Amino acid sequence: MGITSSIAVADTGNDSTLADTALLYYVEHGRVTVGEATARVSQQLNDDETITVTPTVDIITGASPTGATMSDQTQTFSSVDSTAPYTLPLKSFSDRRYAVSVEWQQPLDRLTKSILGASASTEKDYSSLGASATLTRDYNNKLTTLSVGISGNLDSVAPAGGIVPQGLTPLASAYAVASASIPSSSGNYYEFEDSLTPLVHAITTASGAVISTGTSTSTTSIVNGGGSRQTKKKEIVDGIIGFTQVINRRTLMQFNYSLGLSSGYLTDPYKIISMIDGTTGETVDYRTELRPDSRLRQSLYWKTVLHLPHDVIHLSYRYYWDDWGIRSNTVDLHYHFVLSDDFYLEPQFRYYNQSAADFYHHSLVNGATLPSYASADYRLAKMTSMTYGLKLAKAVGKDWELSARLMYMKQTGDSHPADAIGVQRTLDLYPGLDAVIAQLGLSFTF
Amino acid sequence: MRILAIAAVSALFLNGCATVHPWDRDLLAQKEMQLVPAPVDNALDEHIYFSKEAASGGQGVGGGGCGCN
Repeated sequence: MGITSSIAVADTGNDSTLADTALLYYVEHGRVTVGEATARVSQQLNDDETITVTPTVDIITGASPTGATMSDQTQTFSSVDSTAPYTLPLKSFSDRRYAVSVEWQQPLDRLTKSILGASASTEKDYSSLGASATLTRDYNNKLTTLSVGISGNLDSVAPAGGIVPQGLTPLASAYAVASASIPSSSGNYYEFEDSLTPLVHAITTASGAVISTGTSTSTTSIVNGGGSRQTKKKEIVDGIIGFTQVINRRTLMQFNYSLGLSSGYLTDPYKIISMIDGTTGETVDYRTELRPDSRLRQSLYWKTVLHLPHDVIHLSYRYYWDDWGIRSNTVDLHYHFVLSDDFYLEPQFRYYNQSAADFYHHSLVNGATLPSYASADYRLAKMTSMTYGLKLAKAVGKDWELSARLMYMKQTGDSHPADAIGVQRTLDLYPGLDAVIAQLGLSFTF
Repeated sequence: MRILAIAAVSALFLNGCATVHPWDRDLLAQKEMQLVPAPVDNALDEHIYFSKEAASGGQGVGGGGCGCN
């Protein structure tokens, strides 16, 4: 949700309703598929007063990386997720996310405007409630707009399977039932989102020998004790201060500084990390991951909008840094190429890079001193992501616009890090990600 | 340091910008000259990047949470 500028507000007419709807299909090569439907419905109440409601549904299926590193041996994580040698361990799951946000924008006086927002979302294992308030004020004959905003989110995670695992603990004991409210059993469980699949994790060596890493392979199952799933909380507070400046008749610029604090359970309850033999580099065990319980995020954002004789360029840059050690640069460019009065083409390009979190490790050496925190989540690794997109939009009559957008996103990282050990030097330790995103949009006023 | 730099740049702009009279703001009033001309596209993109990258935010506050990251 961007800070809007009051300098230029498209006139949709009094009492009109604008509906901006989209269907999106996101496909990762060999991993997750997401179907998403959203509708952003804005009703103008009075001059400059609008209320906007945005419901969204996501349907997610597929498999995502567990955090376990690649091996030259077969790794078995459950009866359904067996990972062949030289492939990345993935975990199958499916989920649905329902979200709604409401935004109420109203003028407080001739120069001041408030935007109040509320949001809620729910998934099988996650829920979030949020509220936000932004105040904007125009100065300098409305050529300058200052904005201040604050938001808070209360999120809660209730891992499928009912148990929040102990961090940085061998899987054999990480899922030991801690709460008396959940019926205990002797088994050890890895969390699969749809069902409580007993963890059968083992490594098959080249000679065919099966090494169990100490976890039960029994088929006893946990009975979820009537809504007694363990939950963990996460609180997120964000603030932003920024201004928008009209540079000249054709140029607009925006600067923002954002500061955010996340605290609580920031660990991913489903991610694990491979324990590696310090000489051979072979996987000998797995542990759960553990992240710090707070994260201070900051960013500087600059955007310019430039009107060429016909076309419009949107260019933005963000520098992001946080106390997890992540530094990131993002450049985003949209070229709005006007083909005719009712038809435009928009090539889009985005470059993103990030450094690794201080506690990111592709794997840990078994028997060495454990770090305080560790995660093998590839999203916390050093990486670069490029997105190439093209949007086509055609106005139909006065009130309708049809659009189609196709994007390709590619993430690349360090496949052969310098600290790889033994057999790891022959393995791809950052397999990367390819995703194709297709979107259809329909906007109309009524 | 960065905040100081931003403040300095801002001061430059505030003083150095040409006056654009209200009757000259026709281009600025166009939909594609909005800071976020396609809010749905922007929200969908931000959601994808939030779930796949470590950095997030910068454009504004508000919006829903997600267990995807």
